Amino acid sequence: MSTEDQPPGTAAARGDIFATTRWTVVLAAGDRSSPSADVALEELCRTYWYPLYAYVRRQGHSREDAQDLTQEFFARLLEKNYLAGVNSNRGRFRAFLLAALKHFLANEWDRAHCQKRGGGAALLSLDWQDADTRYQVDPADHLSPDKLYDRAWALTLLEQVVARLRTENIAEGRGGQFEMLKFYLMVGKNDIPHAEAAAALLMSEGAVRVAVHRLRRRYRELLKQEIAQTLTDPAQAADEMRALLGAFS
Amino acid sequence: MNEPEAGPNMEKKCPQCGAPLPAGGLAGLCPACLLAQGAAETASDTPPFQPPTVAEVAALFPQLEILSLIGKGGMGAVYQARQPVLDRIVALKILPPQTTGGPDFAERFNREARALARLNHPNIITVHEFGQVQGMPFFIMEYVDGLNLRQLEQAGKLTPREALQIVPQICEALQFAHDAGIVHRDIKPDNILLDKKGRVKIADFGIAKILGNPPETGVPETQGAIGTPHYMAPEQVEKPQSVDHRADIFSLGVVFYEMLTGELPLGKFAPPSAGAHGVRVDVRLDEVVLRALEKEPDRRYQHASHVKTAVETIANTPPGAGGMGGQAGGVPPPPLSPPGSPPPPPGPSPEAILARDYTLKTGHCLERGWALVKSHFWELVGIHALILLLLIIAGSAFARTSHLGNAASDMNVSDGTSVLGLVLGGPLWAGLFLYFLKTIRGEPVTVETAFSGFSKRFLHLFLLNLVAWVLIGLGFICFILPGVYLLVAWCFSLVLVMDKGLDFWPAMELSRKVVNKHWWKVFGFLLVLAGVWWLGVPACCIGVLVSAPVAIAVFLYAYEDIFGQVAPATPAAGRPWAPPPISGAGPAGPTGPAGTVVIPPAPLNPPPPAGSNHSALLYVLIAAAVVLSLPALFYVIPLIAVLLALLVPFFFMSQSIHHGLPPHLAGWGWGNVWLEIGSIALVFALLVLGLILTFKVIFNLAKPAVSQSSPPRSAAGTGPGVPSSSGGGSRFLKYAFLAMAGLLALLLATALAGFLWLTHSAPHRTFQVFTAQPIPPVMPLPPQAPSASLAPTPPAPPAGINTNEFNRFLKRTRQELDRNAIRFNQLQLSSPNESQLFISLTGLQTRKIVNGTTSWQNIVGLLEGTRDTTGKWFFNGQGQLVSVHYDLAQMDLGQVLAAARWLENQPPAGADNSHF
Repeated sequence: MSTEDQPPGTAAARGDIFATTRWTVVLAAGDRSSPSADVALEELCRTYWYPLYAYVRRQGHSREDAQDLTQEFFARLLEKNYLAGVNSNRGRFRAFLLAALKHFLANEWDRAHCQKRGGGAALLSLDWQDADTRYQVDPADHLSPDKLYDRAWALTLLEQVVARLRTENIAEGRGGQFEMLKFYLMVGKNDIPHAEAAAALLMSEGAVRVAVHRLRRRYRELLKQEIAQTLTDPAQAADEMRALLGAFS
Repeated sequence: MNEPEAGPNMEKKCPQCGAPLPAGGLAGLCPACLLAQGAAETASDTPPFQPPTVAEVAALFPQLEILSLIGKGGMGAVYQARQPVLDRIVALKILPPQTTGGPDFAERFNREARALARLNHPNIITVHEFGQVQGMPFFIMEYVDGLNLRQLEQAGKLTPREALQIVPQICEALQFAHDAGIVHRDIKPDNILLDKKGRVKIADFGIAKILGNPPETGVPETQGAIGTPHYMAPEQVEKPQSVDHRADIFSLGVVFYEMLTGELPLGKFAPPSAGAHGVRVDVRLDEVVLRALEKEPDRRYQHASHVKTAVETIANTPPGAGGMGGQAGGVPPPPLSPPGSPPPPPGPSPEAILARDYTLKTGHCLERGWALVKSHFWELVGIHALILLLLIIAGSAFARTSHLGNAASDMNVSDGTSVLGLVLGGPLWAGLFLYFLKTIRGEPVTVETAFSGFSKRFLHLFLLNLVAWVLIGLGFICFILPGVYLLVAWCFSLVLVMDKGLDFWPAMELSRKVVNKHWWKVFGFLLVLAGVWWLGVPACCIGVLVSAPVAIAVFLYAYEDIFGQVAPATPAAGRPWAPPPISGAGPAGPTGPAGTVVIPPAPLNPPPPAGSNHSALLYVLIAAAVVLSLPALFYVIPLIAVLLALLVPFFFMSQSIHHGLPPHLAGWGWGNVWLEIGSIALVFALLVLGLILTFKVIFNLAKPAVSQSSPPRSAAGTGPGVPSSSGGGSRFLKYAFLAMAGLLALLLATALAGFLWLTHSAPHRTFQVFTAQPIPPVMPLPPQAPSASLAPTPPAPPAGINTNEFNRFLKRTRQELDRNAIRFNQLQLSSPNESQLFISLTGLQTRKIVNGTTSWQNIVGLLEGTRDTTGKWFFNGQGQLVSVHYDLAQMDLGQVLAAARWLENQPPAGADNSHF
């Protein structure tokens, strides 16, 4: 589930209010077909399909049913059946997707439909096996489906960001350093002492501190970028992050 | 190094926050912590804040002597400094330069900081000064020599007992700040300091709000959701703009949990008493902590003072029969229960009660009952009068009002009205008992509580009343003694049905078995209660309105001792709870009062809604008193006079004892002591007259029974012997009247003597106040131009004044003004009543230091604030008129008068107050 480094249409600078995100591209295209919009939507779907699958599974559907439903949903989405309808959630892709899914599940669930489509034309090749394993192992059974969806979304998002960060570091020849320092990306009440890392990496403590600071800064930038891709207004990134954080409390 | 060790199938946990790690691409990383890092507040495009060195700071603050750098963090740096002028050590806190705040930042900062500076509380670090220097905001605050809670926890020096002493202090500080409208928003162990005396000091109040991202600017980068993520309330994370003071209560809960267990309450966390962390924690604390940690703000404690009360109750009462593994009762207010389900009965189970023994301390119950009625006088007396009125209407009051009532006569008087009394009597009495019981326990009560006998257990109360009285009646018929035995044995059954929700027969059985253990003691106790009740009778039966509630209160204290939360401890002379010092091992603290008596209503609580019941009950009381005198309608005029004469001085006596004489009375000439004595004599005369007439009426009612040969029916005010012939009737009347008059005269004489003694022993409060001339209000001094010359030495006090007292008074006033860097233009003295001296300052200005230059600014638009116990500051919201009220009751009145007169002759202050 890797993404391209430079999705089409995004400006590099964070905080540039004229930056077009993938989601804005999709929304702007609307019903008209435009290749960039198609690509953008497909990329978004390819990234964030797991939360949908988890939600559908949480609703009580079996593995096979959930696969069918998710596949069907994406088929319709990629045909832009839902983009014209849903209005209120356009600002955030995450909320839009969930609302569309709920709408779909409530109204259009019909086995026959799925069968008619020929058992799901694989428009997106998705890794069902991995998804199901993840769902089974997920310990959060006491959460509501919505919260589970948010959590899965956040997880997916973070995986994207960490993967990107890792790729960047490896490209710059700091792969091993990244593996050691990535734990500093977490906020905790106990400050991990830098001495251990310094010894392991054969660097001075001061250098470790600086490296950690840089890593955190880059992480934050990437995180904001990634979140912004699913929003129409990048200024909403803070709210979105807070909402996702709320799914874990 | 930080990989969680786990097998492939075991659930992994994040080493930082303890939440379980999900499977997936984030190998070993915790999503919650990652997200929190993403949201963390930093200046990501500027280098981390480097605090200035000591030398740099010293250059910026020439008026301070910078001693050292104490600490630094994301929120700035703190230095230890010394103010040479005042010769005190202070803490100087400098915050990172706020370049993104916009032009309004300075204005907003000043406003917020001023509100913080007004927070003056022993548990809050006081802010002395604030301002900005080179774009960096700074605060000069109280210096605390001690450690913060984080350091104490890490050093492993916190036991749960110490936590129980720390938390109430935090609650006090929080409640104080919340009352002033300030929310902390960043309560965490790093912000809670403890000085060497074990006193809690909370730092950084409201600073989070000052530095927070203002909603208007809409800056894209995240400046943090304000606060440290793990201590933030859920609504603070999701909707930071709609946060109120209850977010602080959540943070307090997190801190409390961490103090008890050493871990953070994240995800699915175990209650503190589960002992999973190796420390034994009282199970009653679970409820407190969990309630503070409720996700919905409405489900939490709504006020910090409630948390404090809950914790102090637990700290006070040792875990008894119900304690460490039993129920967590007695923690007010009760948690929300699903509607429709009956609330679980509080306190220990019947088996536990039967299994244990008790001691009934009559004297102690009397003390407490009397204290309770005194403190809740109008409520209790009023509600009792109301219920009594209703019982009279139901027609069976007189037969029911005594525990030693004559059940035999009940059986003789088997007319229709007693049926109604039987039906209504049980629920009405039960409701009344419940009202008293809840007041004893400190739970909120309303008038509806007194009628809950009808809504709650009506059937069983009715059955109880019926069955009990039938059987007691039978017992009396069978040579009286079994009746007496049953009467005593079943005396608690009504309360048991109401309080513990038992059925009528089990309640009777339980009462009987428990009383049987010490039957004679209970019998004696009930006799004493009857005596107390009858004490009110001589005062024209009106006194019953007071003595009966006292008797009921005493009875219910005994009930609480026997059936309540814990076995009664040896009664201590109710000392107020005082926290032992943290460092010392210390004994468990003073044994609190027996039973579940909670802290008496704290003055910090806002006036309860029962205040509105107050005046309503007062009217009810007067109405009931008037109605009770209905039988003597023919003698209405003297009786009304008697009522007024009784109630009015009673009211004023209680008022003057508690609050000092109301000021407007000073103008009525009440200062004349002879008028006082004369009015008391008038009261006495009226009482005697009324007594004769009332007694005659009652004797008329009792006449038929007197002439019978059956056992005499006791009328109110039994006299010596009961001659049954009609000839002796008038002699009986005469003897009885003389006895009553004598008793009454004695009573009044005692009251008068007591009153005089009280007034003599407190000259500055009452008696001298009557005779001294009140200080006339002083004309405002003409405004003068501020004098340029400063008097170098303080003035000498006028002759005849104790120099030390006077200087102390001046110094206190000066300190107050200096402390707030305030000067005034006009000084005005007045004295609304003789024990208070008001100093009014107008034309107030406060000193402001900007970039090292001093300027004076008018104080406008301030809100009411309260200073320390030596004086009270009142700010007019509109502007300039400000008063400082000192209660100088501790000083001799003569000194105060002379000092006031001296002050009024002084010229107003100049550029500063050094002439003062």
